[in-house]
Amino acid sequence: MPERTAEQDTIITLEDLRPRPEEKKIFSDYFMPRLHPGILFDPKKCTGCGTCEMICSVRNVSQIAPASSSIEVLRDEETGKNFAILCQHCRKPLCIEACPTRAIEKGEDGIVRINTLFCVACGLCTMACPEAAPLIDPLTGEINKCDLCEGDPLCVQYCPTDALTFTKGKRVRWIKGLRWSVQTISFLLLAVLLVGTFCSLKAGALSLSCPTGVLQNIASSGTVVLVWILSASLILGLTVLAGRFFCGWICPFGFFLDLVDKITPKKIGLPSFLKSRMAKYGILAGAVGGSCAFGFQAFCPICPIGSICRSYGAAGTLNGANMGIVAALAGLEVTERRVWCRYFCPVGAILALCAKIGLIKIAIGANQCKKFSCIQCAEVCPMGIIDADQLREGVSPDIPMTECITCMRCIDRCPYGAAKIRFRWQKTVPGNIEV
Amino acid sequence: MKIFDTFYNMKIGIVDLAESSAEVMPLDDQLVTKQIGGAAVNRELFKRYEDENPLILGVGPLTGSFAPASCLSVATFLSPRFGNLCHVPLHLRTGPEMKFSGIDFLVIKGAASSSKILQVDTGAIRIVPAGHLAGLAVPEAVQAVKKEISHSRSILLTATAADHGFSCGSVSTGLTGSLDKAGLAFLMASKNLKGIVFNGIHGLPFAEDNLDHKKTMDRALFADRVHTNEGFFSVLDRIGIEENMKGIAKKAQWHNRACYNCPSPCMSSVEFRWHDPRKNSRVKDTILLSDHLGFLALARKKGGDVFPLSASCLRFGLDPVAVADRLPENGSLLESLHTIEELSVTPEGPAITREPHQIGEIPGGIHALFGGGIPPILPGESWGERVYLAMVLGVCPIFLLLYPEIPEMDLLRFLTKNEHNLNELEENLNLSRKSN
Repeated sequence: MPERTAEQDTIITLEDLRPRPEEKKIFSDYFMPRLHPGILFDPKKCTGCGTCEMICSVRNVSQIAPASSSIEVLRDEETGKNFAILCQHCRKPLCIEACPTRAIEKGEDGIVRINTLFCVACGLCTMACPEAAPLIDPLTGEINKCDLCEGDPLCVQYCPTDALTFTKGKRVRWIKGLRWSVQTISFLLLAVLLVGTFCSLKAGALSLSCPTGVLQNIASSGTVVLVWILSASLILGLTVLAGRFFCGWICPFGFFLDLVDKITPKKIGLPSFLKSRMAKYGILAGAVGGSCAFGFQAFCPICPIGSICRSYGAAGTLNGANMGIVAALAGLEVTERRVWCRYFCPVGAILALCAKIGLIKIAIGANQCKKFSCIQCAEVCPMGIIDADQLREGVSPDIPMTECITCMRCIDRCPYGAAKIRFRWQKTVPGNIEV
Repeated sequence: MKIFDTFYNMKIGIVDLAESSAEVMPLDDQLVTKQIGGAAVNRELFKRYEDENPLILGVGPLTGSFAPASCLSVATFLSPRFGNLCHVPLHLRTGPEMKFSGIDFLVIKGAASSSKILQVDTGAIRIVPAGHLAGLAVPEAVQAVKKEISHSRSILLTATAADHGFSCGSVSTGLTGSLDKAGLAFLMASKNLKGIVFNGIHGLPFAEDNLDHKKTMDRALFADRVHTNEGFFSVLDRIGIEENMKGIAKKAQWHNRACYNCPSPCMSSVEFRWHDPRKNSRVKDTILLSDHLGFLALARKKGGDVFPLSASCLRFGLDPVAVADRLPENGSLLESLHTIEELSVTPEGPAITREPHQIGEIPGGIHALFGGGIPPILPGESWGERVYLAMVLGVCPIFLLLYPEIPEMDLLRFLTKNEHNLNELEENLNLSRKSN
């Protein structure tokens, strides 16, 4: 760090007066995140009466002056649709970054406030905000920004149609803890205790097999054995019932990739020519074709799931060849999250086909979502299948269950209950919107 | 009684279109003390300027306030269609925007030599040339006004029909039409007044306890949350329409809309698909239905074609009731659309017909405060003390008609909580009965 000159030492900077608060993350934040309160707006219920504007102005300027409110209802007469502009109290507010006088602060309670003592009404916060939510008062030129009435918003209280709802956000992320526990136990069982049993397990009358292995077996031997098919049916049945639950909760290689992801949070990106979600089906076809041609299970020797299950030797030694495969494929994790699962895993390909006719789906209701200011569901999705742009536009995203690994990170992370599991035939998403 | 000072800006705008002059003056205290507001004050102002064929726009004391459905402003003029004094209720946000723009009453005298627009902004009035807008249909005119006048929170416009001299033209609030069935648009066009634009950015003081009063009223009325699910078609249902009409609503998707601070929407934005015979293709349109009477008149005449015909009436600024009378009985949709297009460019002077069923008449009572008539608002029995009260106080008459359970006194309590003042108010208003 360059030394400050004597002249510099005499200059008092904004940093000295109002240093930016550092974002500290403590351990409990992982399971009990801080609240991100906000107001959710349902355009279907909004009649455009403007009661919210009227009431808000009463608090802002102690007068009935809808133009001076911190919420603005845009009424599109041509399409008949309404949209409310109001502060979403973002997780990472851009207005704070933009404010040259650091007049905007996010409190411990998650509410983003303007300190009027420091605000010079330059309007940069309005320009920086994706929703243009800090509103410029047309009469005084000052900035009006929602402060959630310190936790009990008047606009929500007075909205006659309940188009506005206040949410404090969700506190506990129990799914995360449960998933990591299940993944750890599964890993210990499959990779350490019952070594190699993912590929095939026989315990008395019970017979379980990897569906891809069974398919290659059939191809290589040219015979169809009913027991083989039955042994693969447990995992396939589970997929029909719960989607690619195996990939998200049980797969030991998936768990390994999740661990690798924790130490390589920054991604360099995968070349676009490799980004084809159809590639895994090609690899599956290649595995079956290869097995047919060579007369043995062509993919199994290099299967990372099988490799990780076989790598721990009976005497407590690690199998170098198997570990090499695991390490090489895990290395891909520096490009994207779960890159193997997204594009290349043939086991995932078979499960994807079952998930296509599965009973459940993940539904995200855009009306119950804070759109620009959150998008945490898209950020945490390891398969990258939640379209953040659709959410920003207020459209409930279409989530392909063939790609979803039912890890439920989106459900766990969403502070506003916008992401839920639905049956396939249900036509509504959270927020009672029909899709 | 000085109770109205906080409910008004106490400003009146006087515009002389012939002289191209506009001034804003203090409002006479006595005027609102005696006449209270809305149509009653309008009538008094009309009498003062009677010789100059004035158009008076005014708000009530409750316009823009916490009172439910406080959206109303009233236009008062000598109706070219009925030949007597008429009061036209202007809904949506015209009233509050007018009040928040800094003036309470607007007197427009004389006629301009060329088309003009009045721009009312922060307590000042400007007369803006609008020759290039004359004859335009509503969407084009609104778009042009928004482009040229940057601060336009509420727009009141005449459109093709009135600009071409058709007496059954109807003034349009934005793209939404209005309840003008008395020739307001025709009068504006004859004054070469293309429109009035309000930019309401001022504020009004309020009594703290009025917020609690609003909460109590809302809670009592809408505790069951049933009323808040109203909308254009539910209102028609409540009025009692023919069974065969009920199916029409099912042909469209709608989204309920409300005027300023109205807890019970009576309008609906309707999205419908129809086969446009002029283009020979299927198209999707959206209109905001606010005129129940006009919709019923068209629906009774043309059944399922009511949506495209309503859209056409809104586009050209026509009164749907008058249009329904002129549509061919058994003609096709194409013929009906052509008829509307022809009507919109056909000069047809007013045939003065004083029709008692169209002009409200109640002897004595509150009616004595302002006289004249109000064109029909809702089908059936829509005349009565409550409508007149609404027109004076600045509250939507449709809301009061639909909710007879709201006592008049509850509205007056927004003005004052003092029992003595309340009694005095009641006497001033000549309310026929005392209510709680």
